[in-house]
Amino acid sequence: MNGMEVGVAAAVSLSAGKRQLFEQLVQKSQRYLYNIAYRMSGNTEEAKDLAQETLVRAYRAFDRFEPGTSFERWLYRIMANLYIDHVRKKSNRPLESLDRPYDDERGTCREVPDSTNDPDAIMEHTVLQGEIQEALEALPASYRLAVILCDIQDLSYEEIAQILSCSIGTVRSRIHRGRKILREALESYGQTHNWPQAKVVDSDEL
Amino acid sequence: MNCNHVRHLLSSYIDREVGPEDERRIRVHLAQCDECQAEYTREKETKELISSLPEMDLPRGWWTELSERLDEAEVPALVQNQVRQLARNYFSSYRWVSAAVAAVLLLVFIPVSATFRPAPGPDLETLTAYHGYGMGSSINGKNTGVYYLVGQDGVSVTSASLRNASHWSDDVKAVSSHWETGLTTFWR
Repeated sequence: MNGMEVGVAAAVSLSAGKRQLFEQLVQKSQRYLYNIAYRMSGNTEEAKDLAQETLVRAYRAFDRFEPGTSFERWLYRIMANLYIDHVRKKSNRPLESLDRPYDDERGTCREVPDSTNDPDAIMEHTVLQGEIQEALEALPASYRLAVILCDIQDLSYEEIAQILSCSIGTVRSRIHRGRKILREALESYGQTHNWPQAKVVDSDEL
Repeated sequence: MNCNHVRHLLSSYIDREVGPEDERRIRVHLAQCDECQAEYTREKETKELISSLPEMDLPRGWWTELSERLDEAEVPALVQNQVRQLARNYFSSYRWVSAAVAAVLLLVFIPVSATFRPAPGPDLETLTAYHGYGMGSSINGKNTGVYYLVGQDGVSVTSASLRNASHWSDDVKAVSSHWETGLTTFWR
């Protein structure tokens, strides 16, 4: 076997090993990644595209991934950058333009985990999930990412700061402001579920 | 700690992201202040609502589509180098080496490939810029739709996807129709 053949065979084998390792890691993380993308975008197609583009970029940069560190968090970081770039590119249009309004597709694909047979309860559950998703989509992208990583992925402020490449103070502020907006958006739910009414104090003015 | 300060820290308090001393002071304040307690309840319920969103299943066809996209991402690094090497060898006096490499690619990595010289034409800016030799690529027997064209210098490489094939010549499209026939060499 001459040198050229050896070179090609080695390259192929290296590539196959890399692909196998990458796919093993992806199998464990893809659902989390897709769910963040879904909550960011609010529809299946956009979420799939965002999550898969993230994985393609991760694969291209896989040589730079440090073994022993969290693969998931590395993916989240790539996705956060990708999403923020996407938002910037569309900055001529209002941010909301990224967040497609309700459509039939989204309505039909939404899961209804409540297994009760009561149609009213199912309907209420579905409507509520729609309202929550809509409220999330109304947030500025950077707030939305922070809130999703905190409340859905259950990450610490420090982890979120690393993913979003910002300080813990910035994460604290984004989550605080994001939740405040969400709370106001979900006020109608609160009224029907007897949320206690509080006197408004603008804590942002501290 | 006054109400303003407490409310400013409520999110962090709910997320357990305040220090032990602040946590104690907020807890004491909430026990004494109905308004802040109400605010705390609303904020906590908001967090719980977000957390209650169901986990979505991966959409149908997810893995197939992802595999295809990874295949495409994988091609450039490996194949571009090999195509470049093939072309370099072809232009050298060691044509048999080129054939050996092509055979390895054929068996191991690129079951179907084609070498061709595209026709020059006024509308073929990409092709005329790289009017040397090139090859298509496929992985696991599936055409990736990506062509790699090597300049006649044997060094410069460009690639283009057949998905955006409107500017490709009939010759190139003809090559693509021969994908399933095995290693095909086109000389003009």
